[in-house]
This record gives sequence, structure tokens and C-alpha cells, in this order.
Amino acid sequence: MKKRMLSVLLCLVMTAGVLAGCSTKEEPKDDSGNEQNQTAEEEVSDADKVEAVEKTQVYVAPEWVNSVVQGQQEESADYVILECSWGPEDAAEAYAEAHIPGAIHMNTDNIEEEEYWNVRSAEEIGQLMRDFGITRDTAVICYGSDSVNAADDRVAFALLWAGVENVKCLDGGFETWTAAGYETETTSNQPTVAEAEFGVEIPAHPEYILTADEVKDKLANDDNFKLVSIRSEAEFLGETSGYGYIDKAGEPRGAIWGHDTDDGSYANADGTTVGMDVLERCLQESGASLDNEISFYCGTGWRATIPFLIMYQNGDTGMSLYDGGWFVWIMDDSNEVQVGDPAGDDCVYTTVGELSNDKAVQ
Amino acid sequence: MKVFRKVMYIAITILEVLVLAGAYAVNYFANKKMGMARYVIYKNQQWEGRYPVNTLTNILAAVLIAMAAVVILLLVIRRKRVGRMVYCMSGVMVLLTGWYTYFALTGSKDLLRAYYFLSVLFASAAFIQICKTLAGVLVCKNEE
Repeated sequence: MKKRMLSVLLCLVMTAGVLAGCSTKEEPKDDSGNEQNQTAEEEVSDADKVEAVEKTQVYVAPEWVNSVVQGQQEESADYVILECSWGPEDAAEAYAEAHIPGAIHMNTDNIEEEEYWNVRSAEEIGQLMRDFGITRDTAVICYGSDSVNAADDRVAFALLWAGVENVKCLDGGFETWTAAGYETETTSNQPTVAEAEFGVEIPAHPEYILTADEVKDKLANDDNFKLVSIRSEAEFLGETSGYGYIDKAGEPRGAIWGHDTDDGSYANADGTTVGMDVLERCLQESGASLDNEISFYCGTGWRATIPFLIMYQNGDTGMSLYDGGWFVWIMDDSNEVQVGDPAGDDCVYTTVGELSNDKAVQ
Repeated sequence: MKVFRKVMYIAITILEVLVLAGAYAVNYFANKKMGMARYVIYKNQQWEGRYPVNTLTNILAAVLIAMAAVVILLLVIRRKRVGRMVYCMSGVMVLLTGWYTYFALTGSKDLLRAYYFLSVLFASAAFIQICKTLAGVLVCKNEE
């Protein structure tokens, strides 16, 4: 009996021993290593993660544009990238050489008519929006070759005028995209016609554009109104028209100088667009401020869109673009003009009809 | 005198070639460069505003055709006295005059931005050739 009991006990012990020996041993967790991996992954995702920007933010970094293309932004659901330059696609050498993946070429003639180089009619812009698959809610990213080229700013302005709510300009242009090392392509992309309605009557913001008559009225009757010339100093002083096809030089009487964009006055050293501080300084130099009602203009409306967009993204309202510029101003011989520095003693005030016709750029 | 005629012939031919090359250049840059395109469009507007351009184009075509016809008539009359070279010049004259007429009557600034510029240049080339051929008919002798 005792032997039998001992045998049973021995079997039980041996069975227990075998069971204990066969159980899986888990390696102790190397907590420090896994944490390191997790941190690295977090770091990678944090580095890739680009913050969202406000709808009203216009100038955006290439990182943000890339994050849209990669599907990491809210805008990724409905966006169009426009490579903006003059001429049809077959004449757009920059587009053919390389462009942002998915970018569609936008000929600036699509948004400007050929008589006065003003923004086209509401009907034409509406058709253009349909053709390019753009609605009010589409995020449109415009870009030009570099920070000085205002083609993308011009297109962006027209889109905002029409009513597109989310318009961006790649700050610094295609140069910053390639400098960041992002992918480019050479494939020609064609727009997809929009199926939905634009979403608002075009133009949603007619107040963004002033006609020559409106400018004349404001100059005569509104002391708070400032017509700001975004042209070179030589153009402002009436030394040259700045254009090969404009024979007369000068400025509308009462205009003040806001510096030129073509000479880099509105670009930082890295090619990005300057902020409000620079614009304010330019205005103050000429005795104006942001408290004034400001309308920007240039020769035909390209350069002047840059300070407009700077103010727009700053949340300012009430500024406008005198779209016709100097080109339309000189079409009426009776329009009053100034030749020279209005702050100086030798500024001449006369009319368009009295100006000489030898100021075109040769 | 012969040398002088040859030099003049070569000089005028070079001028004619430059005029045609200019036509190509204007059209090329009017489609490739925004500044040139705007300049051309602006000039189109100015000329249309100041002159009856369509009427003038048609009149010019008629004048050139008439001049070319006179030169050909003279060529027929003096055919035994002129050399082969004059026949070649006449052929080019007919080509250039015919080309300008076709271009002027079928083209427009809506189809071709630099249409008015090209019309002037093509008409100039045709006119130069007509004058050259007329001189050849009147002056050149068959030396064979």
C-alpha cells in the first residue's frame, strides 16, 4: 500500500515536472529597445507630419503642398495644382521640362482678355472653372517659376475674385519645390471637367476689382483712399512706361509708390514672400497706412496682386486691385496724370493726351 | 556695269530673305514670348482703330497681282531677249505674289496673332521680287 502510494506520488511529481518543463518560457521584454523603435517611428511620422494651414493662408511652403499630394491634408480630397505661366501648353517650356506631379498648365490668357488684359468676364471665368474642375470648395494650389514671377499670384487673385475659398500659392515658386528635393514629372496632365456647379455666383467678390472710373471717383472724393503703384521707381517717376507696347509714362494723379515686386522688394532672401511688416513699411514711406482704403495697381495687374494677397492672408478686407492699371488709364486722353515724384517740387501734373509717346521700352 | 548689277541683285535678294526671315521671327516670338504677343496685339488694335485694314489688304493684293501681270506681259514680249535667270525670277515672283494673295485673303488676326505684321512683310517681299524681276526683264539680256 505504501509502495503503491509512493509510486503514485512519484508519477504525479514527474508529471508535474514534465509539464512545468514543457511550458513556454517568455523572454523578458527588452523595454528599452521597443521604446526606442516606437520613438523613432513617432519621430519619423512627426517629421513627415505637416501642419494644416488656414483656408485664408495663401502663401504655403513646398512641404505643405507635398503633404497635400501625399494625401495627408484635408485639401487632399479635392485639390487642383496649377502651373501658371503665359502661353498655351506647347509654348510652356517650364511646364514641359518639369512640374509638380499632377500639375495642370494654366495659361494666364485663360483668365485675362486680350484688349485690356483685365480679368475675363464672369461667364468666361465660370466656364474656365468648369473646364478645370474647380468649384468653390476645391483647394487650388498655384505656382510659378519663382518668387518674383507673378503669374501664379495673378491666377490666384482671379480665383479668389471668382469665389474659390481655398487658394494657395507655392511660396517661392517651383524653385523652392525642386530645392526641397521633391518629385517632379514631365507628363502632361489634362484637367477633369467639373461635374458639380461652381457653388456661388461668379464673381463672389466683385469688390476685389476697381474700374478706372471707380478709381477716379475715389481719388476725387475719398480722402481715405490710396491708389498704390506697385511699379518700378523709373515707372513711377515717369522715366519709362516699363512695357514695349505702352508708349506713355507716368502715373494716375494722386497715386503713391508702394515699391515694385519685380525687383524683389516683396521677396525674402530665401525667395519666400514678405509679410505685412514690409508692406506696411512701403506704405508708410509714402504717407499711407493700413487704415486707408488701399487699391493696388501696376501696368496690367500682375505685380499688384502680390501685396493684395499678402493683405488677404493677413485677414484684411477692403483692399482692392485696380485691374486696368496704367495701360487702361492712358486710353483716355482726359485722364489726369502725374510725372515725377509727387513728394518733390518738380512733379508735373497734366493729362494723358499731353504725354509724349516715346517712353516705351525698346 | 555687270558687276554693279550683280552686286545690286545679291543685295536686294539678301534684303528679301531678311524680310521673309523677319516674318518667321515675328510669328515665332508672338507665340512664344508674352511681351512680343502683347506688343503685336496692341499694334493690331491700334491699326484696326486707325486704318481700314481689310480694305487695304485687298487693295494691296490687287495692286501686286496687277504689277506681276504687267511684268509677265513684258516678259512675254521680250522673251527672246531675256536669259534663263529672268524666267527663274519670274517664277519666284509668281510664287511670292500668289502666296501673299492667298495669305491676305484667307488669314485673319483671329487665326494668326501676327497676321497684320506678316501681311506687311509678305507684301514687301512680293513687291521687292516684282521690282527685281521687272529690272531683269528690262535690263538682262540673253547672252547665249
